[in-house]
Amino acid sequence: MSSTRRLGEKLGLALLLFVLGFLLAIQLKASANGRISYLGDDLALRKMKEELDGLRVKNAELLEEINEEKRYLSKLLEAKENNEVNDAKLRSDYENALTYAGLTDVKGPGAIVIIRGNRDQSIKAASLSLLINEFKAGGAQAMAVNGERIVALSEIRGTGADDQSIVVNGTQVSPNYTYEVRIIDRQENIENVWRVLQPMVDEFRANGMTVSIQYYQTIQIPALSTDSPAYRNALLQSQDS
Amino acid sequence: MSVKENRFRHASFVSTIFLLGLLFSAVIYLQLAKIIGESRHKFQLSRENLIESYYREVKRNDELEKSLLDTQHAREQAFLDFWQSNRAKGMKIYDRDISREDALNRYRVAMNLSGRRAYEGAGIRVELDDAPNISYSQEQRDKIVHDEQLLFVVNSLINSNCLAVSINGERWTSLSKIVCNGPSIRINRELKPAPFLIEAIFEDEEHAKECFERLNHEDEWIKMKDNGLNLAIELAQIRILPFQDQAMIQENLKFLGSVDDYIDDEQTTS
Repeated sequence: MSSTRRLGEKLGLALLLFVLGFLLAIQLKASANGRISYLGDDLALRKMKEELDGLRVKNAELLEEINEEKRYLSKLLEAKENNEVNDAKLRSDYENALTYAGLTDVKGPGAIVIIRGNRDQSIKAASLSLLINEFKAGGAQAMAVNGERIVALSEIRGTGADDQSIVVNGTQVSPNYTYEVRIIDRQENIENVWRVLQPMVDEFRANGMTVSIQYYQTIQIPALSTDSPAYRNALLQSQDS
Repeated sequence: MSVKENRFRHASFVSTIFLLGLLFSAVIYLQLAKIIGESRHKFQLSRENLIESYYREVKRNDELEKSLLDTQHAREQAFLDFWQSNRAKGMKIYDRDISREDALNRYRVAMNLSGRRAYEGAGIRVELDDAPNISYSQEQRDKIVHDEQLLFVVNSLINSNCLAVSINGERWTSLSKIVCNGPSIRINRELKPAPFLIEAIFEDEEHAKECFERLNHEDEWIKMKDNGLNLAIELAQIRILPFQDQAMIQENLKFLGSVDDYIDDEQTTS
């Protein structure tokens, strides 16, 4: 046997034995100490890290909001202190709050949906709620049902036998089972929503109701009436300020 | 060299190499173990740091929410004080005169309805989640929480005269909507995953309890339970923060025109 071949065999054998020894050592060590866990395997910690990141973002936003409120507060106190009536900004803020809350008459492009039922078949409160939700999801900027402005705390409730009548903002809006829903939004948005609502509309028609939609360049939607129970409730709820 | 000697030499060689291999690998392994041990120690330290940081941020979040509540109430009161002062004789809104008292009342209501007023007090917490172990197929549609179930709960709370509502922390306002998005929902413009937590604040505990009893006996609620949805409702102390999406508010204000004089006839599209 040549010496080169013998050397090769010996080196091969040496390598094999080295690897074997290494593997044996690892096995012995692992058996003695149990499993090793890594941060990557710890799902609970990963979830905590995600929540922590979310909390940090939220806290930064809260801090910004607090600072904004404090700046506005100090302007108000300064104005009162100095007897200055720089009311342009205050009036603007006041009007904006009223507009977003639904306390001003508003106008804009939009549509009017009319749903005519009868004593036996008319739209229910739950379906009306869904209809309103769909238009809002499509981007509606203001809505009203039979002259009642839809606001944050607008109740939409069925009353009477089989919930045939509907109350909106504390006012019964269905004396003749006909509902006029006004929507202010871009026409293309309303058209998209109307397509999505087709199964619901078809069901209304199948139940004997008539449903129509008309688009307008400008429609008007009234403010929440100060005489309505909804306004009076909201005022009572705000009285501790 | 005899065969025996050869064999002996071969065996010695093999044993030596094996022992050397064992020794060498033990040295390498001990070094690796030291490195891993240090990593584990660092991992332990970073694990403890993470937990500490988490609870510190939770505490900070609570403090900031309280601070926002207090600052908002102070701002509201300062606004009311300002308009109640002698310098503010009245308000002109769209060229119509309204009395100071009427203006202040409208402001109070606006803060409430626009979602800009924070609330803290007795309320109700409702949690909705899909039924467990479902395949999300069409046949199991009833076992999934949809926008109609969430709307039902929100409407029930509003119909019970709550002061404010939030869904997974998002304030319900005039333009709020619920849009199903697979296993999540979009409320206002925020995407929120299940489970869905709807909270409402009431004037006092009595009103909260009345709503609690009423909701538990609603047909739709019982139907949701029978379908296997995970539902939970409890009376609790609730804190609801103001609506904070300024972009959504500004978009609404820019889009809507004010009505100076009521138009009798509306213009139709061509």
